[in-house]
Amino acid sequence: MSDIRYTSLTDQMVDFCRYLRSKGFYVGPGEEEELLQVLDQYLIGDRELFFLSLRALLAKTKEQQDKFPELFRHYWQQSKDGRSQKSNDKKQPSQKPTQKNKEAQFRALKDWINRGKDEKKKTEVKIYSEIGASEQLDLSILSDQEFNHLMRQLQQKVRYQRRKKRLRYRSRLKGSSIDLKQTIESSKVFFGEPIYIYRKKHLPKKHRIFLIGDVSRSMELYTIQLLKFFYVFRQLYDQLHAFLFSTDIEEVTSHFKQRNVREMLEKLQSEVNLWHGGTRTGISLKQFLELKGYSKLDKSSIVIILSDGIDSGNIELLERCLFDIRKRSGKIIWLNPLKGNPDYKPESKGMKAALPFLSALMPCHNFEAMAAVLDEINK
Amino acid sequence: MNHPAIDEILTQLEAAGYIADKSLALYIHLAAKLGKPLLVEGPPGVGKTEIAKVLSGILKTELIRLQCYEGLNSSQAIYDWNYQRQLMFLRLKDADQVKEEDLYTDQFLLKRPLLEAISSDQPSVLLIDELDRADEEFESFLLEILSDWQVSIPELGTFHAKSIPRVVITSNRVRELSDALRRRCLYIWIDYPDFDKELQIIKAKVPEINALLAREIAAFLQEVRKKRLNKTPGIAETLDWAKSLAELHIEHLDHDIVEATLGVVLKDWKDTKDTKMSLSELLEQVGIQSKMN
Repeated sequence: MSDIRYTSLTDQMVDFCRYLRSKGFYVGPGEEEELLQVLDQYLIGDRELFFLSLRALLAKTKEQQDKFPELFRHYWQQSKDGRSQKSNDKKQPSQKPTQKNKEAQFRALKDWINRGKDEKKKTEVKIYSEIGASEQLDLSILSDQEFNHLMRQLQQKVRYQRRKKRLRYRSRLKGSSIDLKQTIESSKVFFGEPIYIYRKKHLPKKHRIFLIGDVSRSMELYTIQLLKFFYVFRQLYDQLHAFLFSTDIEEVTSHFKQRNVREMLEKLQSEVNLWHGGTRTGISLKQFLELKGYSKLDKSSIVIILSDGIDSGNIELLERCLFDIRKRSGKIIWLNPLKGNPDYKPESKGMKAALPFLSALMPCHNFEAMAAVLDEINK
Repeated sequence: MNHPAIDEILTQLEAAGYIADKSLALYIHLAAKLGKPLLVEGPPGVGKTEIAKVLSGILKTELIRLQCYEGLNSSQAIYDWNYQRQLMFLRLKDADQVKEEDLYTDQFLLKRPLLEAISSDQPSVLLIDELDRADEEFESFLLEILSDWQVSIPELGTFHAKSIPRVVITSNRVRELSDALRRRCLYIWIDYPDFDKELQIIKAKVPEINALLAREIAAFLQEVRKKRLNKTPGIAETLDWAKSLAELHIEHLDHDIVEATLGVVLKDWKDTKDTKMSLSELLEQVGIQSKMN
């Protein structure tokens, strides 16, 4: 809203549209024009009708319709009082941590990065693997060379799985486009007459992956594993959204588009402010749903949560959010680094609450576990 | 709140048996005035599709329905050629006498819903049902038609709309529809009804039902919807249950009757199992609620 007290309805409508635009509504000149087109004496004269007309034309999603009454009340109240306010509420700049805080917060991360350079012990291989001994190693202690080699193996595996899916689809009598080859082939029996038109069956939709990683205090030991895991998945899947949470959630998809793991870790270190706080999975998942979940989740989506399940937040909220996510998505896979221990049992409150909603509870500490996750995704 | 056009629409909706509030009547009025499609979103079973059916009744015009599904494309939505008939035509006629243009005529054209809607002499009501089930590609394609109201058939040329249909698009929000489509439409969210509205619907659709039973049914459904269910019952289930109980001459809900007929309301075994376990509590709430309202 500007400083001027409007007397012209047109100007006021345009200013209201500008105000809504600043609040994230999709309101352009087209909507403004329509608004002025439909407003007649009856609609303007009655407050309720006026409100409903504006909502009908300007709110285009359920979330916008829910927010609209408050924004409407706020704007027209301010306008009535003649107070001036900026219509462009600028986003509060996020409080960047000071150098001292950064050092304290990222101490664990730095230690792990440095430890990764120094420690190159190999654990005893217990199970035979086709890739080699290094796929059994914990992610945090793999050298860069081993890491890249194993990542390429996984990329090949994913490419093979995708190709296998395409070949699985054969000609059918129903489908989206004509299969000329099969049609002509079948017409030979009818002396060249294509009596049956064969079509290609529609290809399945690619999975959209949502990775949600716990970087709270209890996960301090596994932070590097988690981030490397995310990085690998980012290379394997185009349609991937990555989030990190502890007491809040933040989308970090763009941070995983770096050229190598080291650059990715450095970018996260400097720009993300969630490291090693408390764990409020319920609130974080609720924020995830509001941010992306409600709008992007569908039956082809797979949500992968990486957490130890040790939660200090509201368990009922966690259950509700997982219920909503499960309803909207194809499956939820929970990756628990503690599951790498064969004696582990999911007995924490968070894990117990989550179990009924999960398609799988799996470990995630090495490449062998990652390969198993890929198989679970493609089931 | 008085507006002659909106009051008129409300009266017509009620006469057609659709219990609506003034906001829906306003949306219908605005959609007609602006010539925009109405995009109706909401959970399953709240009466989204019914709007289009009622609208076609009110306008005394044809209802053309396009049921969307994954893999829907232009040959199922706009037109296709009747290949078998074309081949038969070729076989019956002498090969020398047949020209290519003879094969591509209206005789062999299969008009699907979208082409049918724009070819109609009178403006029809075009219902595009459950658009969220179709692919994003189909949505982009639909957007083009809704903008230009013309269809290009390579063999025949461009079909311009003889009449612009009144379009109602429904979505269960399984997938989020694109912003471009939303901006093209007037958007309305229809949620589960509150107690008063649900009671009104039951009384309108099942007039033979006992008044107390109607209140108890409405109160019960309100309580059931508060639970976390895999398949939340909609108005369709409410009316099915009301009709079933009226048919059985039941006058009052009790534990045994509800347990025996729960399958009419709940369509998921887990929901049924969980509800049966908390049935006594629910009925207690129902008793309280139906007395309060």
